[in-house]
Amino acid sequence: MQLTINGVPVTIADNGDSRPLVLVLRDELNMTGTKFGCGAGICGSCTVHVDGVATRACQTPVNQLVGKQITTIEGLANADGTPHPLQQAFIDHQVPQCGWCMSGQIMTAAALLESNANPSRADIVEAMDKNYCRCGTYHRIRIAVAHAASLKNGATK
Amino acid sequence: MKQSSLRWKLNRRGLLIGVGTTVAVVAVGWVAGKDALRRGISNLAEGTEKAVSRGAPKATPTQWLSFSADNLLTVHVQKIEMGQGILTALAQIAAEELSIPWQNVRVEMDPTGSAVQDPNGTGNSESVVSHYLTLRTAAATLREMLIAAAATQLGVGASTLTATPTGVLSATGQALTYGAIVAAHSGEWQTPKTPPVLKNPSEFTLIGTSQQRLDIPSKVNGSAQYGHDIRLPNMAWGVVARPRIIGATIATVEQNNASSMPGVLAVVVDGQFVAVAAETKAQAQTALLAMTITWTNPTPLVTQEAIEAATTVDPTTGIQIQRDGDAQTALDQAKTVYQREFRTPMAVHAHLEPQASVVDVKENSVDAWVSTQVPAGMASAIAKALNRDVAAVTVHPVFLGGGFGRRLDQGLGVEAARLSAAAKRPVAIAWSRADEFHNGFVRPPTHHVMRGSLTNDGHIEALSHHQASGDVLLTIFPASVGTFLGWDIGAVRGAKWYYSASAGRLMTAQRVQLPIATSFWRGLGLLADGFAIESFIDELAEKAAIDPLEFRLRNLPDTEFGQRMKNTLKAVAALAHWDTPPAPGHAYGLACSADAGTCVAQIAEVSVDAGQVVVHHVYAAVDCGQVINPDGVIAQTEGGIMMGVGSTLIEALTVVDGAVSASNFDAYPLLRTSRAPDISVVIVPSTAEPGGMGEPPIGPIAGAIANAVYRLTNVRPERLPIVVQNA
Repeated sequence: MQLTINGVPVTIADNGDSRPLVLVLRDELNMTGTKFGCGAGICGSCTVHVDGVATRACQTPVNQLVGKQITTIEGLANADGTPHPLQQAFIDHQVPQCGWCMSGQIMTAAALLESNANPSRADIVEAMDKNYCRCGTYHRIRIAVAHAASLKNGATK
Repeated sequence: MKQSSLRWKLNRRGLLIGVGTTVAVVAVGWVAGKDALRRGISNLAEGTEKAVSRGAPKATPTQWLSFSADNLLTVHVQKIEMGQGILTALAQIAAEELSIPWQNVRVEMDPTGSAVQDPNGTGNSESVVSHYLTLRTAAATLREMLIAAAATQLGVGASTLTATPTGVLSATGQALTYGAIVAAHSGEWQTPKTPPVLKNPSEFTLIGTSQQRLDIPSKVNGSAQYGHDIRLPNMAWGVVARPRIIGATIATVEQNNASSMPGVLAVVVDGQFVAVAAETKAQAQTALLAMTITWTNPTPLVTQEAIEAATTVDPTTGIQIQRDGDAQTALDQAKTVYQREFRTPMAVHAHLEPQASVVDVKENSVDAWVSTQVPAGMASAIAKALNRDVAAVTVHPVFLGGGFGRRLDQGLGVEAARLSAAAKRPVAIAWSRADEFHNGFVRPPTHHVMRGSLTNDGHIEALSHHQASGDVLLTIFPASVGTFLGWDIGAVRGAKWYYSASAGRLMTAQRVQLPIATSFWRGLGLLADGFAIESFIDELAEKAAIDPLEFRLRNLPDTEFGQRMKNTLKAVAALAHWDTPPAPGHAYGLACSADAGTCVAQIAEVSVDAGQVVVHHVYAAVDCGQVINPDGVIAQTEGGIMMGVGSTLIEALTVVDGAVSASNFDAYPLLRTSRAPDISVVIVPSTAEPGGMGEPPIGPIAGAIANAVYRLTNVRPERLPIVVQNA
């Protein structure tokens, strides 16, 4: 079975089963940037993009992903290797504490900014409400996502 | 209170630097003995006003600090980064005395077996407290040692040399970098005969500045390595049979064909340890399911009702922890006695990275990567389980995806070690969320009976607090310790009265041994005790018809601590504009608490919408003594508040049908951003020694919210989480 992850074709065993993407990424491909939190689609730690849409990797069987573009945190940086505006904003605002939820937070936020370049606070809260942060960085996440939107818009102007 | 004493001791290893243990008690079982406990009991009072530290490891300056040939300073510590920013703070402390430019500073969590050995692990909000003087002294001493070595290398007198941010400069303009001095050095280091002079805090250029955290870049691009992320060549996966029913034990095991199933490498059936190692996680799980395991359930099953009934104050049995004056008599004779009871529920840590360990047992050595707050304890536990010398076991520190006290136990690494020994391969065990809910330990439930009386002039006359709590610290001590002590030191974090009372104050602690595993949770008793005390003080203020801020200022003592707390209260009042009413339909609630040498005051701006409590904004003021990294202090304040908001509004773990009622977050939701307040923090300037920051900010939040809810509803919340009856 062939998947496309961060633009690179990757061949994985086709067991005829429906292994969730998060386990294939983490346990078979050693791509551990995508995190496992609950395995039930609740906490958002495993969020990746499938064709640009924020998707729970723990709820997504790999056999549904053939021919689709999968993007993980490892593939989010700009083509020149500089951090994605969200990654930069999360550094600038010193958002992460333990950091375990951060790949999912950033992927969720990145998908939001792709679909909504100028999100309101309500838009940000609605999108980011899908992701738990047990360290309680919510206040900073909201600020950083808004800041990233302005960074991104600045870059494209 | 004994001052922290600096060890200045030469031995065969050289000059060992580390702050001595002032009080050994808060400590956890692997270091404390009976005498330390007894000592600690009498010193416990200082836990609020001054941090209670178990001291820092003892190591030489060249073990604490190293320079590479390209002149980068690396600070070596054995504290674990779990989001509290400790690595950055410790690096700032160490670099300060050497005046090293921040971009040249690195920090490493050293594995066990390294020179810096930290038996205490990471917790108790004490890493900065214990390392502050130690690392500064090590750095200042190293500076003198480097100057002496440079003098030899240059053939000049040491007194002609001066230290610069990059190295040493001679009177004739010769410059040597620290890295070059170290590279050229041979033989013994000359150590100064007396401790070096440390910088005056007014000279600090790194301490007290908001440097960016060193671990954050790796946490936004997925490269940070946590226990759950460790992948070794040839690594196998393990699963362990775990009970769902609380207290259930394995009765019988039939292996059936498990050991011959695809991918299976080892099946271990040894008493209560039944586990499988296989090539993949799925194969291990399939093989375990193929076995027939019968369980013996406890009779009767554990019930929620029994837990609550047991966690009920019996005023005749509590042990007196604080007693001055005669509160009991004053309350018996008072014309009006105010009384209120509070309860807090069980809760889980819900660290988002489930526990994980990878252990590689080889013929002569063992390497382990375990999500633990206590690598040294983990190494001992693995060595004991394998009957190996502890020197043969190396525990490699990893980032923790949240700790909150959950990662202080030691079974985790032992399980993977036993499977690795059987499979003769590196074995990873990664817990599921259900494992976490059913097989962790929980924050104990508490019950508080508060009584108080007032004088005619708006002062407190008498106070009593009878507390019943499930065990916190005692669960990790041998049972004899609990029997000897009779009360739990952890449960009373924040439980003693810090307000004055003219006739007397009483606090009693009643130990409740529950059939469900209880233990550490961020702040230990602090959240529950802060809720009870600050709600009750707010009630006394109301009964005295005095503004809650004014009442607190009037009734805090005129000690140094009391002054710090009053300043902190005034600072938060200014930040929130306490004197100006909040938005229509909103109310302010005020609370404060002290823990680990840090004073915190908070004001919650709250409304109630269709029966749901909405926390709009939390204002916080913090006096944590000398600040290392202001933004780190703010981040910990925000984090403690958010975790406390979750406990105040949402979280309660219950038992149903003999088992924890939740297996995942669907039945035990956490705070999400839509209910998470905005937060403003002000740091109160202070000349006090550094206090802790990991736990203190969680102390006031439940009381602050509850007091605002009371203003809105005229009903004083007596239980967490707060439920408002829909009018």
